[in-house]
Amino acid sequence: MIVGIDLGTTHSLIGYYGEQGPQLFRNALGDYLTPSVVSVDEAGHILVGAAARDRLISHPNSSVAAFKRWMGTAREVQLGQRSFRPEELSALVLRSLLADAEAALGEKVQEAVISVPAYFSDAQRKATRAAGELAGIKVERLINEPTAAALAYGLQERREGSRFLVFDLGGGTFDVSVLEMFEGVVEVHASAGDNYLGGEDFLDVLETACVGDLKLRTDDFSPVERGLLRRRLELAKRSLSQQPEVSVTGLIGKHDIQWRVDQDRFLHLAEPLLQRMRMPLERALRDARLRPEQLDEIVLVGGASRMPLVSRLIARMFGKLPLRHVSPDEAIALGACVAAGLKSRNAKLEEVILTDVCPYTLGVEIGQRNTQGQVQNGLFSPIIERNSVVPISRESSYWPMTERQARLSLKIYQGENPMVENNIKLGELEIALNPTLSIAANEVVVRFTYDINGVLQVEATPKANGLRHELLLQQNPGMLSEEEIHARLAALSELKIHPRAKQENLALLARAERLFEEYLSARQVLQQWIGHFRQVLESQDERLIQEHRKTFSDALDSLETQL
Amino acid sequence: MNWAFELLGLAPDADVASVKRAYARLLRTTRPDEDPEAFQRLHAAYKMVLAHVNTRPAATAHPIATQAALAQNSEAVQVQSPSPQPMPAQANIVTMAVSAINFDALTNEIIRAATEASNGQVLSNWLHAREEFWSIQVKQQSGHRVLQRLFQQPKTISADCMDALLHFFDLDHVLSGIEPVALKNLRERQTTLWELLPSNHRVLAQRIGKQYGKYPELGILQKNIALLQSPFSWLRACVVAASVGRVRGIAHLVQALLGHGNFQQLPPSIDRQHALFWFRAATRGPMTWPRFALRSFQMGLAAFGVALAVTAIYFLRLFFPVDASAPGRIDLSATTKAFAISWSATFGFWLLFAGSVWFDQWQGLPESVPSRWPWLRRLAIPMACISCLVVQETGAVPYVEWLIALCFIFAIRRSRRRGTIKNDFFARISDSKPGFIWVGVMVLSAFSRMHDLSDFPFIPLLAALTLGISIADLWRHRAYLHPKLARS
Repeated sequence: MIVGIDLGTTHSLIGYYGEQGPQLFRNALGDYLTPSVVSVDEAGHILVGAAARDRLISHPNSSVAAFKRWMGTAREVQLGQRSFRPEELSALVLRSLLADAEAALGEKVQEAVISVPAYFSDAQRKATRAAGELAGIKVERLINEPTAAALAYGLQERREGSRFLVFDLGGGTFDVSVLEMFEGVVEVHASAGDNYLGGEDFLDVLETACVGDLKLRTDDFSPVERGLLRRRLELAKRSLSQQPEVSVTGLIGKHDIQWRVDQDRFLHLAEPLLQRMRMPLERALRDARLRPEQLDEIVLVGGASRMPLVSRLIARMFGKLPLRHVSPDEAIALGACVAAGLKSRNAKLEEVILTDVCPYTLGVEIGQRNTQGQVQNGLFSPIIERNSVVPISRESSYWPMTERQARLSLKIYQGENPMVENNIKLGELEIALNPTLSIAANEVVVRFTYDINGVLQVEATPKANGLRHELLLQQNPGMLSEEEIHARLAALSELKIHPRAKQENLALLARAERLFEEYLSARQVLQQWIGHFRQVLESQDERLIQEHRKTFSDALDSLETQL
Repeated sequence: MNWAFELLGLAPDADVASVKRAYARLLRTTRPDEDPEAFQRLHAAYKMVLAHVNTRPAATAHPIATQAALAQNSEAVQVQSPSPQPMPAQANIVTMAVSAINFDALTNEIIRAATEASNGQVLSNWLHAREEFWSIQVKQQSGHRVLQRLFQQPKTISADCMDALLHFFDLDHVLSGIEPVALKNLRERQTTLWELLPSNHRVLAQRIGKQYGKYPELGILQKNIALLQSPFSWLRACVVAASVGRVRGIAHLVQALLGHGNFQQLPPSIDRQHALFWFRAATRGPMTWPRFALRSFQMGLAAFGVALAVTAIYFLRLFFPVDASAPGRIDLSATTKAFAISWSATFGFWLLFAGSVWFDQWQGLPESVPSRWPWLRRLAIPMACISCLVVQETGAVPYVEWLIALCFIFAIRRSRRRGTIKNDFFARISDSKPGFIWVGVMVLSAFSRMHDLSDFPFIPLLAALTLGISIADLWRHRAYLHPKLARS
């Protein structure tokens, strides 16, 4: 069984391709969306999901969120006794998702298709694969998020011969893809994006404005208070999608917050972020060689695309209003399920074929002699141009700069800037030349092969001797080696994770603790309730616990609506 | 072309729909994840056929009709929303027809804004605030027009603003089709123009300081700029040459203005002949006429100073004689003589030095550089060496051994400069420290021989070595001497 997973910045989902098409699995709390948050409790047990998200407020030092943004870096975060890499945190979320899937399917899940932002780099993709391995599954394929969304949307609508643009604004990443569907072929024409632009940035903008208006600084808030403030602002951001004006009021720590924000103000604050969205949109369209009016539809997916200013941006740029996917949060996961179905050769999907593109330009550093004979070094010579259909293999010839040159060092870069210093270096290859030959005879043929999963292979062959050199990609600090993955896999399996059956109780407790931090007036009542519930839990009487859980959860619901 | 149609199994007059159908059918048997190479071939064929079918002249009637239909569509806003919540329809939708825009005026406006903006952020804000650029086509077209205009005529745009401009129009990426070297050159030229504005001289001074490690004084820099903007005159050049350090300052200025370009690309306000003169006068490297003239003038002045000092000492000796019993008398002719001798001695040393530098350069030129008397250049050193030997034998001129030692040094330098292989024998002995010591010992020994300190026949040995080196050098360049030798 292959499952489809959407490993998001704020939420993650899991599903599979079943009899009735793509289907998502509910988690222990009955939701499709599992927050991508990890927390460690006092006993050293790991919590994932809604409980961890509530603990983000009450225990900010032992909880972590939005770690997808650090994928591909060596950044580690300390939780309780142990420090975690982003791959490990993602692996914990994956394990929790897999437990949900296994509970629903009643069988062990071994393989998965995971969605990644189209604009994820080589290192970030490798980190995602490593996360899968750490969670104990084989990652069959990484699918680009907008492509997944398009698969879900296209198969649902079954429109023939249409071109559309998928605009995916998630919690932390922004992706654009231009696609075409015809005769059961889903062809991606172009992808572009920004890996550090998402709903979280809009929240940051609101936070800066709020704190600035109140003549405070972010340092004036303790971590707990800051978490509370961000939660209030997050709610305010969501209500701004429906109301013209919202106010944020309440006592946070010793600060009395009274702040009003309307849609126009928010639009003004978010202006720089909107400007950053313009370029990927324009670039994707230009690379697809399409005019705006040639697009049949513009589809919005991702939770953050609910903001009205996003549809306004689209309308201004394309002269037409976008279509919002029925369930913007689930579209990508549904698409990942379709991709999983394609991978397992589901009979119903036999007629669908997907072709994707590589989002970056890949090439090598070259020098060039100008008309005055001066040498200009550090130029980027592309071999595989961005938005070429994958798998692809391209070759290009290079010659030494000077007569009697003995070595040629081939530096491989990924990026869009004409000067290599602004691009990302992937690796280096040293090639020995024959210095007795002329410059023309010392031709070196460089072949780049980029496969369907975004893995690059470089081969260089000097024509004179035909000796093939292959690139060993340089291990950059953000990547785990094979041995490290095994060591960390062993270490992770030693961690104590709460059993799935207990999740509901834990989530309830975490929620009560979060409310305790949030509302000063109700502290005494909450403390009593929490104490009582803990006592009931210790009795280990399943029937009693279930009864109590119901009343406790209802009491919390009514408390939250009152306040 | 035909192979592509054959691969897809199509007739050459197939239409777009049948091309897509054929591609989709073939894709089922050649899946991208199973047979990458076959897929690449299929995809290449598909793209080629599609491009061909779309640009085929027979099909022209069809695209125009669809374009018209699309244009109509773009004016009407389609409101489709499957979600229950209604879309905010108040968004002001710009559906500006591209044909309705006067691109010339817009281009002028953008360039004016770029020249007037105080920094990149201001320009960026201005560009973002313009309604026209929300239309992707308008933005794309105007970006290319602006760049084209700037390539034709560079404007005073700072590097900061140029970056903002390129970034906004998305022209600074590797696939934009713009030659990066040309773009860099344009940016450099524009930066230079911008720095020459009086308000930006400070920036220029900072750039020069960063590049050469010596920050020029703003007043002097402005004086230098004014000098370069006026036509050249020898008188003014001499005045400038008389003040200490200004020549170097002007040379740095000219180099900074030039950047990686050539003299044709200097800002129009700068006098090119003038800039070329100062560039030649102060850059390191071969001796040039402007440098010789300027240095001679400076040396003449310095020699004048030396002569004055000598004369002053002469006078001091007169007024405070060592021997008090014999009071001195002002002898005008003796004073003039002392002045003249000291001046010409100092200046003569300079001329000798300049001459030897010039000779060293001339005889070290590679054979490929044409010369009026190639054989004179080839044989100047051996001839000089032999004639010195003959003269020494006759004993008519004293100290002729010095000239032989000089010939030896020149011969080594010549052979080294003309060598193409950098690690041959001569390069090794003249590059390495032991080589230097070895040459030094030879020359010193020659001097000691001159003063009869040793019996060893150093002078004939030096002469023989000089001749040997010269012949080896000739043999190495034998291909230039006669075509027959080139074949061997």
